[in-house]
Amino acid sequence: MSGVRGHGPAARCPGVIPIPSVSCPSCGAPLEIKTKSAILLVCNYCDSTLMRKDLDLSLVGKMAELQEDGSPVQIGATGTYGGRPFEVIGRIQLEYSAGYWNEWYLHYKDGQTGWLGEGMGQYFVTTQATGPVEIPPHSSLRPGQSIRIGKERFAVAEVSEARCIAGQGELPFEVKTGYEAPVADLSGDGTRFATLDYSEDPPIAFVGDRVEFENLDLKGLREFEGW
Amino acid sequence: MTTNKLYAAFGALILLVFFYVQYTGWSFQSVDETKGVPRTVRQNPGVYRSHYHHYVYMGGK
Amino acid sequence: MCATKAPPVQVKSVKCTKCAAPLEIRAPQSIQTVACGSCGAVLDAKHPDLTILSQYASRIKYKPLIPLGTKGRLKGEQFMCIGFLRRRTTVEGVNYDWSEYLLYNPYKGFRWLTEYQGHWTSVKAAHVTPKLVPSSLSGGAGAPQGDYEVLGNVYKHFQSVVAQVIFVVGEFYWEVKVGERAECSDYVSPPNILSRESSENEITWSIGDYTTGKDVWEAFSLPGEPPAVTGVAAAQPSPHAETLATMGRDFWTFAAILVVLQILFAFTSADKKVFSQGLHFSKSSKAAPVASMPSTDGTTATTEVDTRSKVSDYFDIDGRTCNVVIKTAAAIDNHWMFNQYALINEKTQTAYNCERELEYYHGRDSDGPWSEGSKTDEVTIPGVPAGRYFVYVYPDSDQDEVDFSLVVYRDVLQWWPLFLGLFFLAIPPLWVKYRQWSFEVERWKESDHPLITSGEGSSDDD
Repeated sequence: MSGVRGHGPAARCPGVIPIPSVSCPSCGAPLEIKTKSAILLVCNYCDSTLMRKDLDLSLVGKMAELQEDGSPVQIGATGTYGGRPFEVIGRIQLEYSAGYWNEWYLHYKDGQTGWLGEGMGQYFVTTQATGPVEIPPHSSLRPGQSIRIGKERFAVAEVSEARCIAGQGELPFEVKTGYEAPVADLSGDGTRFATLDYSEDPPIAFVGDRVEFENLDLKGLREFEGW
Repeated sequence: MTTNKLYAAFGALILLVFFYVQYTGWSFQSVDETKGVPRTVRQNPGVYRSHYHHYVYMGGK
Repeated sequence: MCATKAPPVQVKSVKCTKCAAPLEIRAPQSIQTVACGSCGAVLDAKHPDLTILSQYASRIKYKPLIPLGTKGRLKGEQFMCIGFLRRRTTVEGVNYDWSEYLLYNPYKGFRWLTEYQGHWTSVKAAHVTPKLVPSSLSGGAGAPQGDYEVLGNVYKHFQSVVAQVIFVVGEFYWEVKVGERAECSDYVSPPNILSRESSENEITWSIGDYTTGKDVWEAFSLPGEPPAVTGVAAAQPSPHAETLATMGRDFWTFAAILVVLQILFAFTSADKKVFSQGLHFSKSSKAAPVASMPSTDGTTATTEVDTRSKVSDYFDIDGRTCNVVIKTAAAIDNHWMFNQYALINEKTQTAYNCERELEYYHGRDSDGPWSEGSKTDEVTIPGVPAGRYFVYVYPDSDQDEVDFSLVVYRDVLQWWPLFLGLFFLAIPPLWVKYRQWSFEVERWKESDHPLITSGEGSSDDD
């Protein structure tokens, strides 16, 4: 159960640019850019997909429709992880054999960014692993197999294929609807968790923790009738 | 838990009995008391025996 | 800031693609399959036409005890029962069936309630990876070796089985298939149970809490009574464990007080020698002639004088009322001595009477030298008040001449009350420990590692 995030060079080296207020080149609605690393923006009003190059926004096309997946998280929701408050600013929705999965792009108050993987009431907070990672090919992964990421040891928990449905809000890389992403979930010591994303070459590892809903102190969630 | 309360009461009782036994020097060994031993017993110890059960020991082994 | 375009979660009313029975889908966005309770069709909830994924023909229909769609509050969290499965494992030709209820909350995801023989367990996915630790038990056949540790608790391997789905109804977040098999291993740390389910490309861990039927009935406001409980469940907390822990603590407290009191008595007891005198017994005195003796009050009394009876000199016992110990040491050799004693208060003329027997035999046989009995003896007279006393003694022996001595002590420390006290104090904890052990025997009886392997386990638990 997890996700894919793909990556772009800007994700690793955010430029030192002041964040301006801009408007959607397609419909003129105001757009707020929260992170310096934002590459892709999806206009909330017209679903236009905008690529950012320095201060310019160029219209790439229309983003595909998100599917209703029952997720309680939404863009604008806030929470806290490890004492650090964050805001949800972007979303990638994925589909895999067992259902929908979201990777929410987090903007921490301290300027850092990260991801909140969410699906079926399970929550995972991760960041992209730094440094070289030796990852075996996707086809050779077996549950229980041991993989080292940095100094940590993980065991393969689940190997699956995911498909990207759509993106929303602000993202650090380009999202293409329908791209296939072979993924694997790994579990480490205690709450430690990692995802391997094979949609890029070489594959990328995201490392973090499994978190319980109660411990994220999420606010501004969707409201469900009767709950 | 009632069991634990009962045990606490039991333990307290054991402590009380223990204190009583140690303080008074109580013993299991059978000792019976007779009152009014004649004063003549010192002059003629033989008289005393009739004051309590005369027991003829037949010997061990 | 971001207006959600999607509608809120709503119950969707549909009809079974196969039999047209009405179906309610309560978590339409979070589930993958819907199983029709009427005809056994498993439908693809993701497909707009609810295409039939599989079909099972179950001769027996099971009715969930918690009706699908019932909302309840379990341990402070709100959940709705949306799915029900009946699973089975077959061990040595015997079928063991249990029920699993899928619970849903849009924020917290899924939980399970499992029921086996009236025992309930509330289960959620483990968010901590269990850590393998060396097992204290020898692994059963085919069982994974070792126990697991989660958040400092060691879960002992209980059982590994292959579980099969035999009946489904309701909604599920995966593609449920009747007949689907999974390898399941349970590890217990009452009241928690850790379960590992493995299929070809997934290993999932979940942690359950033992729950009573009463709790479930209250949580979901169910009518009637929960099913009766049979036997002891794997994760059932022992009713004796807490009692035993508290009692154990109390035992050590009482034992410590007892020892401290004993030490205090040891320090304060006077253990004072108040008198000693050497005496002589002669067999010939038995045949002593009847004689006249002048009495102290001046009158002449003609009494039978038994020269065997002795009285000691006067001695004083002071201090508080306490015990008096008369120690006898007799020079007997392959003979016995039988003394009748009286400790007599000079003023009150009260006598404390007792009889003491001494015997000492020794010799040599094929095993070498032997001896039995003792040349010394002591007797404790309790509750003797202060005053002037003397000892009367009527000795008897089968030895012609015996030299013997009397030593009198007051306020002598006794050790037996300490040991007897400790013994009595230990009886209830030992009894509870036995009950606890019997309970554990029951618990482990159905596991891969029964505590009693031969014959029947103890089954006296209520």
